[in-house]
Amino acid sequence: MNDDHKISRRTFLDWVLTGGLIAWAAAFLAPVVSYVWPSQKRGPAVQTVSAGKEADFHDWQSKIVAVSGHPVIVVRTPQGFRAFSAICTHLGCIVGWDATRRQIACPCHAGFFDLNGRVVGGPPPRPLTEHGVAVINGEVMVKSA
Amino acid sequence: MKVYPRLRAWLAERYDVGAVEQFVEHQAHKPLPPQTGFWHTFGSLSLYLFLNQVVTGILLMIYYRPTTNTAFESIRFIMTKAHFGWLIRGLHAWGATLMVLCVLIHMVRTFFMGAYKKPRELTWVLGVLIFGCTITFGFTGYLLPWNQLSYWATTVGTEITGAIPYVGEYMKLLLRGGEGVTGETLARFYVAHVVVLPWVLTGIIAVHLFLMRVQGLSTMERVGEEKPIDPQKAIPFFPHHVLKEGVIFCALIGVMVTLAVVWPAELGEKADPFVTPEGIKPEWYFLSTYQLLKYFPKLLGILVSMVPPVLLLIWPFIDRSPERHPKKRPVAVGIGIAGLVLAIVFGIVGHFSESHVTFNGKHYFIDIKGAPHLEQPAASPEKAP
Repeated sequence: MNDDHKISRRTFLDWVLTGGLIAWAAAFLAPVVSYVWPSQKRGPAVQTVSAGKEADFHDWQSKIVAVSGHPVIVVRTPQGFRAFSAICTHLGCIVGWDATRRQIACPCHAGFFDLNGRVVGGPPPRPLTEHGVAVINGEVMVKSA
Repeated sequence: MKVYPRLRAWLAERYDVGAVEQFVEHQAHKPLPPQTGFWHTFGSLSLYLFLNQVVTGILLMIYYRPTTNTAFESIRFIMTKAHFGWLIRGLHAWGATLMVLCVLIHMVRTFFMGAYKKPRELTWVLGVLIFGCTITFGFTGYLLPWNQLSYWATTVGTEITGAIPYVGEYMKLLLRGGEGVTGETLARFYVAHVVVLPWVLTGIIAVHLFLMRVQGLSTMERVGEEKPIDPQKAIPFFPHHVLKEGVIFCALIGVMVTLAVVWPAELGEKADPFVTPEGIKPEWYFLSTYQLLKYFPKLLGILVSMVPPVLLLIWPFIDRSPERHPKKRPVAVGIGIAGLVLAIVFGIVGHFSESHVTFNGKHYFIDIKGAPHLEQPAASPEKAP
């Protein structure tokens, strides 16, 4: 081995001590970081909840229900029920039903979605996620996405 | 025998009291440059306001409960049941606004007088960090009443961080303590607001003040050509400048109490994660950034809105001309004025955007980007429930 590339004992000890200090700091930091990191609680994979009786909805009426803890907007149209995530894809505000325009509207930055969840106006970058909805024994049932 | 000499003698037997007295004497009578005026009191005012926030904050913590079921109710208790609770919350809320204003004025004064130049670059950088901490205090404190406005302003504010490439989603998750704004978010913001930020800010202020006292106040002379202060023209820190600060301090107390009485801090409605109210707006010091973000796609908006703070932080290292007098720094002063005007204009547009206003007898709807649309009475928008 070339003498020029030889590592002195002092340099080696410096590295060991520096590495030891970094490892020591990491050993303290790792539990702190993992403690602060949110624990991801996951509910059941698919949840179905009732949005109410079919008879309680008339055409173009909407309602927001909680499905797996997330708000979902349910709208009755003459062709049937539609359900979408009520969280606007722009900045997370809760959308509502604009009866005049017959569109789903975000009150924060004037984002509009049609009854397929597609963006038809405003700044939202993505469509709303659709949820399955079915009428079972007169009850409007909404599935988690 | 009087108490002080006895106490001093007792201490002197144990500690080097003379050295401490000499230090205090030197600091108290330190000569200040002759142009030191009322504009130089805004730094101290910011410090008084920080102390006001600490004292009123500790008092609020006695009754405040940081959970989603109790936060709103505990603030309502403070406002309606606790003796002078309305005043203490009012002083805290207005103190926050005035602190941001005073730090801003202090920075504007420092900028236009060229006081950030060599050898005081680090004092300026620490000042920018103090401003950052101050508005982070505002952001974290805004959520604590857990009302509709604070809940949705926090939802929108934290959602914006999600657009930062690669790390945005992780940052959002870390800030919120989960996917949405929940009790976890409230706890995190509370800890940041009452424990982390106060200590961080105290540390930065300590170093900022230390550097200011060691290097002294800047004069208007060119960098490297500063002359020693003429003792005949100098202003003694004590009592002259301290008295000036005392006058401003008394006026500030008067203004704060008046504001707290005339415009008490509002509470509004309790946060409802399933209903977003119309017209949610951030605090006034975020309005210009809030409006600016509307003109760009999310990521580009974040990059554009990062320009002013980054520019502020590195400004002493960009503007290295030796001149301090504003008349001899047309470019820097021009950029400073343009920045201020833009911030004010964007702030005003942000305030009026997405609202209905009446001007000169006509009704207008100001859209998301601030453009006015004349409204006919019959065509006013109606929303289904």
